[in-house]
Amino acid sequence: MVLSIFQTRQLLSLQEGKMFKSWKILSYFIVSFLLGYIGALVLVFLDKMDIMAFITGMVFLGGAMFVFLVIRASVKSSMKLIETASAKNYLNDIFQNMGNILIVLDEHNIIKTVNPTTCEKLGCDPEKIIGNHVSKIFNLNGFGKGSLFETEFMTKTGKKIPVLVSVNHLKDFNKNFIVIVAQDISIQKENERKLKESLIAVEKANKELDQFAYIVSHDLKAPLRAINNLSEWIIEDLGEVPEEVENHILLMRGRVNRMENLINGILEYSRVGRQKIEKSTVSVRDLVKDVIDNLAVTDRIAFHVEQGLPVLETEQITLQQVFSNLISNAVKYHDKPKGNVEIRCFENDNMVEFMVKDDGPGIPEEYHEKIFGIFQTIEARDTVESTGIGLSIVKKIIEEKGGKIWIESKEGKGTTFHFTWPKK
Amino acid sequence: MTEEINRLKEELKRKTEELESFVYIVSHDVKAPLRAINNLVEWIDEDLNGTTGDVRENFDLLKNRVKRIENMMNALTELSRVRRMELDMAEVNTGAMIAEILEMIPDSKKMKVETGKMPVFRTMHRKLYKVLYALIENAVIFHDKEDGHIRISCKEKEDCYVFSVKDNGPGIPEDLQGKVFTVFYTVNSKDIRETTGVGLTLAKKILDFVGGNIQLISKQGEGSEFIFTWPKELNVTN
Repeated sequence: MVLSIFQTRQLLSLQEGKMFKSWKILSYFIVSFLLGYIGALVLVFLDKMDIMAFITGMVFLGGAMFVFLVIRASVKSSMKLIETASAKNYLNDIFQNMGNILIVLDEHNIIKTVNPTTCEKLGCDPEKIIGNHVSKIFNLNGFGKGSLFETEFMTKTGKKIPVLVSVNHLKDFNKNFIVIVAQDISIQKENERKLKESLIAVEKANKELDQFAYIVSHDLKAPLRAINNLSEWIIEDLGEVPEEVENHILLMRGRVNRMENLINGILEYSRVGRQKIEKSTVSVRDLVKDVIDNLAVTDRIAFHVEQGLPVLETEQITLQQVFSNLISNAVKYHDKPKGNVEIRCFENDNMVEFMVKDDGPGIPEEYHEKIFGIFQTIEARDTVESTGIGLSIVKKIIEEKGGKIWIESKEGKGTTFHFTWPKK
Repeated sequence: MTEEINRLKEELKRKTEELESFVYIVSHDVKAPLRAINNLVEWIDEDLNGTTGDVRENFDLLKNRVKRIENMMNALTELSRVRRMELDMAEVNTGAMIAEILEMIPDSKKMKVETGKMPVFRTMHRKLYKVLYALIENAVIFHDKEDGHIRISCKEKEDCYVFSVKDNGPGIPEDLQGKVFTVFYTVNSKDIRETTGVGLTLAKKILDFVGGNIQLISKQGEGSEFIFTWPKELNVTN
């Protein structure tokens, strides 16, 4: 009886104490058997045979129940064992085939098990790893709990692999152990590094470009100013200047002036798109009116501004630059005593298309592309002094914003500039 | 993330092109009025023939300024050409190259020039020439002492050559050392010595292009040493 108590206890405790309750019931049974036998013995001595027969019957019934319970428990237990085994198989498959690094440590952080991926990344056999302290392959000593963190995985060759580690503390048969799952994040790290590098490089290029443009234009302008001043002094010192000489000097100063304008224009051109400008709510109608007012034209030109020009969330200064260039061009190159300039718009899905139309001289078709190139003017520079940089800046601004600009014009029939500008 | 990187790379490429086009535009388009100015200066020179005193002095100064702008423009053109791939790969005898450079700088005859053992290897001939020329020219023309001494040497490393051009000239004050590679920058006023201040900028730009680097070691009053690395294998992407 006592032996069977211990045996059943061993059998049932296989299931991690979950069947302890069944074992308790069984031990109650066994105790009641003992009591039954002692009772039967006493009754034999007292010669109460009929009661004894009854109790014996009860003991046999209990015995049958006991056997039933033991068999049921064994069946349950072995079924569980089979289940566990297949689950373990399944887990083992995952363990063997997962692409992540998986390492099991004991409570002293000594490596107990590793999966094939770990060996692959480390470049050595599992025997060489197992039994070592975890710090031999990870760039740290112990582990905190649970959370994800980044560290480095040190391979045999001394190469370091960045990894994202998660740590789980588990308990089995009262033993603590630690499961580490680590993901190789070399690619992510590499990409991050590249991104950072590119960002820094772009920033540096921007700064360099700005600085270079500034220095070049500044340093080129210094001697230009000197030439201007010197020529002034020369005229002063000469006193009576023959007309021819004065003409030459004045002409030269004109060229010096033009050169300075060109340099300023290039500087401005190179700056388009590199300066961050805050967006604001812009009424295009008001903006166009301002531009026209600032032009200070006489009533030689009549302006027709469409009522329905939109209100946009945009960079005011750049849009103003565009309109100012287009409208002032329309006025500046107008060749008739009375002229008209129209400003209209159409709204599309994401863009607004604006039109600046004049009835001036028009532009021959062969120039339609050229006029947007830097430093192109159609007329000789001496007729209308301009650097010709305006339209190239306009084009650069518009394209920087994701828009387009094109021209519709025939010689003698006026010019229409169309451009698109994003609504947002 | 990869998309972002590609976008940034594209942007970087655009910036580099922008810088080049800026330099190109300046050096190319601004030349037209400069030519006009040059012609007018010549005419005025003829007009003023025979004048003396202040007028002559001022006019000579004016001519000097025109010349200065012209030099600056030419230097810019040179800068804008650095990244253009010229197929000038050749077997270069750097020792002979240095002798040739010294021949081109007459003032170098007045000083003691020591040249160490120089390598012979295949590389971009013109570009290496320009870098060495800029450094040697600087060492010579800014020298301020009677017993001028220049030492040119080269050490071979696994993947590059390390060249050094060392002089016992005036040296460069520490606070100005960061600026010497800036375009048009000259330590002294251009009126003291007419230079464009582009030599070192050009050298640095070439070295950036070929994948080398340059370093300046200098103490005021004790001379300067420029050390630059030149890769053996040029891995130039354009």
